[in-house]
Amino acid sequence: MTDETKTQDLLLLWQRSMEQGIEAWRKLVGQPDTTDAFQFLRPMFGQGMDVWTQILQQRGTTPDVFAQWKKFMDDSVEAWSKVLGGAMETEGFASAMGKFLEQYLNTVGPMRKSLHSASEEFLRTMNLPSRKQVTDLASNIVSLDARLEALEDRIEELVENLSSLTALVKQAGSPRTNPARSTKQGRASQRIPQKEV
Amino acid sequence: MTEWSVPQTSEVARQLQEETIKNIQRIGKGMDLVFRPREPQVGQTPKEAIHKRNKSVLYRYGLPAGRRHTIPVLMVPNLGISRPYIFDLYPGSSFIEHMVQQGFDFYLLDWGVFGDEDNGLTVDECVTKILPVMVRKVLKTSNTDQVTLLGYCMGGPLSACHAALYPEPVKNLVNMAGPIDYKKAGLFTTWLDRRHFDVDKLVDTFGSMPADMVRIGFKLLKPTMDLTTFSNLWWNLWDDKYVEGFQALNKWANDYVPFPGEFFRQWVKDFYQANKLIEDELVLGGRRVLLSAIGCPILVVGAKQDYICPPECARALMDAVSSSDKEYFELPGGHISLIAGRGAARHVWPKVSAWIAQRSR
Repeated sequence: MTDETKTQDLLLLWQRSMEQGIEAWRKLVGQPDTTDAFQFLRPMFGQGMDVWTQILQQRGTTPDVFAQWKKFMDDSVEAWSKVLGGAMETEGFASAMGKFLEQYLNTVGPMRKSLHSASEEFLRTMNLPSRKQVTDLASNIVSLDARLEALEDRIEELVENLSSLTALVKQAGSPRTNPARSTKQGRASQRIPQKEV
Repeated sequence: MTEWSVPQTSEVARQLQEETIKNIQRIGKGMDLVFRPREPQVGQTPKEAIHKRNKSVLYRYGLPAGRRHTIPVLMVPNLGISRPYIFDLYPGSSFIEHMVQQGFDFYLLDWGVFGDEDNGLTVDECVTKILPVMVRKVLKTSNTDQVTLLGYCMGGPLSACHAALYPEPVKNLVNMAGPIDYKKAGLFTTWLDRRHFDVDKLVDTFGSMPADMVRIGFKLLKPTMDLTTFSNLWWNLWDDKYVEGFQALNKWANDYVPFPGEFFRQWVKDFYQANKLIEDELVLGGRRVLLSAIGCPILVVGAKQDYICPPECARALMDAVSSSDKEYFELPGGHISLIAGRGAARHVWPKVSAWIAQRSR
């Protein structure tokens, strides 16, 4: 038996074991027998094997074992990557992933809920704050922080407006034009005729 | 496939000797990596925190003496998924360092790592509340009235939404690998389709999009990536410079962060499932986001082998805006190759900085 056929036998063995494994998982997660959620994987095996065989056939020899190994690795990984990419962009893969996620959430959701209520009960008994209470407190601090920031911005804006107004008033009430610049009344009375002019 | 030539005996001996030395070095350095791991120093460009809002921090980079351009640049990265130190990985391999060296008054918005208390944060709040405040702070700090927005990845659409809603202060808009047309977003379009992906159930169960699930999603995009990475590491293990870069990049590549729940819900529903941004149906802060309201100069950068945001997905911005000054360029490499690595430093960063510099006077 040549190396090539040995490799093909190994690949066939691997394909069979993968299919059997998938079948076992499918049964374990309770998928009905009628749907084959992993159908998208099947052409992938065939393609992967073709590519692999091609790589083995095309490779030459070199005394640099490590360079040869690296080249083989890169070519194989690239080929498998293309094959996997092709399989993963199918609707079948997306649907299988969606179903897997749904089942995972169906299992994890109630578990998390019961764990949370049990821990909350325990913390209440121990007179300690629950995670939710701490999170709510943190949320309140975050919103207070945002409100404080908005206030700061508003004050900053007011200060800026005030200083520009002061500058305007100073400019308008220069000693040459109006001696009454030191009083608000004076400044106001000065501005009106200027505007009219 | 390369045909190997049969070398001379002396050549074989030389190769064997060279390979043996390299292998001894590989083993020694490999042992060092495993038994004496060093924490890579990332984010070393001098910076100053200008403003903080909840977890988000606005940083200003560089020193006043080096700033030559009057228009500041605000970089808006992705929220969730990963940390922004990829933009300032280590000296000599840092996009931010490059921009500072080119004389830009450079700011980075670090969205931060959100916790359970932030699960109510939405895309709406990010675009209409946080971003405008950050832009205002940039303008005030730099004492100017316009800014260049540079969005990377998810920061691209967030910046575009901001520029569409508040066009006045935006002098230029740069979208680097930011998805715009979500029908063309590759594998994520298929996987996040509403027929297969129940985002409500996920967010209702966890409250957020956990970092581990983000990791699974991104690893699935290219399942052989880790194998390639470690095969390349073994091959280059004798090279100190490569190992230094690998450590920094590997730290970042495995540092996933969660999404706030409501943000993720809105992101998936409005952007990936309904594709509202390009369809002019997105409403943020009670206002419709019209990309055609963007009239400033825009630059779109796409990466040919980008699995996260395929080039045509980012390029869609070109046709959606009303700008007359717009440019698109596409480079080989993946999503990260635009922002980190030798190729980025050689081909991408100089183009981006030159484009912005021409429009920052």
